[in-house]
Amino acid sequence: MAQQKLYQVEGVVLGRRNYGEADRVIILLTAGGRLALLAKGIRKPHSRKAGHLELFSRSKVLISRVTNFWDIISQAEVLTTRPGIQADFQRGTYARYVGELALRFFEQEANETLYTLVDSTLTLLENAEKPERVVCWYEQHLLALAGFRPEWRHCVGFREGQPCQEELHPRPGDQRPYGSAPEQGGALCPDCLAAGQPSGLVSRLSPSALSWLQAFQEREYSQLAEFDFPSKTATELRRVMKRYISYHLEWQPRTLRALNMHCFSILRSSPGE
Amino acid sequence: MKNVAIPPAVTRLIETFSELPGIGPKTASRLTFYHLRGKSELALSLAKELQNLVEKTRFCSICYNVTEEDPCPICSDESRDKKVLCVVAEPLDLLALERTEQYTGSYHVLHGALAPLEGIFAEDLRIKELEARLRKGGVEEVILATNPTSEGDYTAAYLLTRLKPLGVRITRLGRGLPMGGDLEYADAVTLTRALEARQEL
Repeated sequence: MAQQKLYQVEGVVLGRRNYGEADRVIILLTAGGRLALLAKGIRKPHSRKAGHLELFSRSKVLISRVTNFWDIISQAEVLTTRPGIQADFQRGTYARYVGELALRFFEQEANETLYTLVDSTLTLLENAEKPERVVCWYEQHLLALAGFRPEWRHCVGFREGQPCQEELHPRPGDQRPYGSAPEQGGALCPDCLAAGQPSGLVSRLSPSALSWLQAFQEREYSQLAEFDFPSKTATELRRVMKRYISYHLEWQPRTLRALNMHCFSILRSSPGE
Repeated sequence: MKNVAIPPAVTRLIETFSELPGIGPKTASRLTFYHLRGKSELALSLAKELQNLVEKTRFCSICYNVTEEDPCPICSDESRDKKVLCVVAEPLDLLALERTEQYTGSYHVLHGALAPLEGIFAEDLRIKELEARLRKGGVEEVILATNPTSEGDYTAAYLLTRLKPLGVRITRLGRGLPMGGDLEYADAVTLTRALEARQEL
């Protein structure tokens, strides 16, 4: 069957890079998969498409199919602009992280759930009071979607050759820490953590951090928004999830570096404020 | 495949040309053969100018613009307002601003915009140097003139967090409808900004 020469899609712009004199390659995430498209003349001030294809905006685009070349964007109309992300460095960095994870964990396959997840996360990021909580929630759902769902509810440790599988119910008063084991893909109960071989990959997990991980995985974001999310827990989760994600991705997400640097500069400047 | 019919000097020039951005093997061959057939003065003057470019130009130690003398003519010009500092991403942006003949302050060139996905971080830009320059004092206003794109806005947002504690006035270039543009094709963000910044006639 001959393919149509013109087609229309709706998607979120997750990446762009300059191409040639005044063109740009746009990476568009759509429900039907990821597309790399060429937007001609978009860097000129007169471009009719320029404002409609900014990073993280959700746009409707009309594309001409070109054989043996990039498909070219002929028209674009922005549906959601997300200026809140553009104007704030922290939210902007988190949004880049959201996009990077989606592009790294997934290839070009069609995945409507991924599209909805990324789009709704970006909307939440723009408005949520605590963007770091949105990112933690997103990480758990993205990992599940990509087939790397961590097991936070049952212990994944082995004792005397037998799987432990103890159901974990962390309480704030728990005296002993739990553990996170990226290699086994989940949480360790205090006994398995204590009994296990010390490994560079296993990290300690406070009861509060573990219960947040369970909640992020099992609940919708709206159900969590009212609870207090201490910055100490946020920092701990950042560290634990960084290790988990880079282990399974076999690659260190780049945007995380900007994130860490930013947190560092906030720490540095906070005493004076 | 190596073509023995073409002398090595020609092949080498074709290869060198094709390393330039936006020039493919065909264009490189065309340029090479143009120089082969064309006037030899042009080729020689091109060679001389390229050599001058490499040997004589450097970055100004104050604003990091490309210059032949250090400090650059703009930084050493006494008539320019040193209290206002315009931060641009690239030397070409500085040239664009100079063409307006409206701006009389000084500049600071960052040499890029933040793009963590492409591996460009704050330490790769001349931000530390900008901070040091502001710490020295004398600057009252910093104009953030990075591009009105996601990358430019992101860089400006980062600069704001870094420079705010230094207590200078920080402004961003205005944004609105381009000359010769069409209202029908303007996006919502641009139109909103244009409405906010409307002026009485």
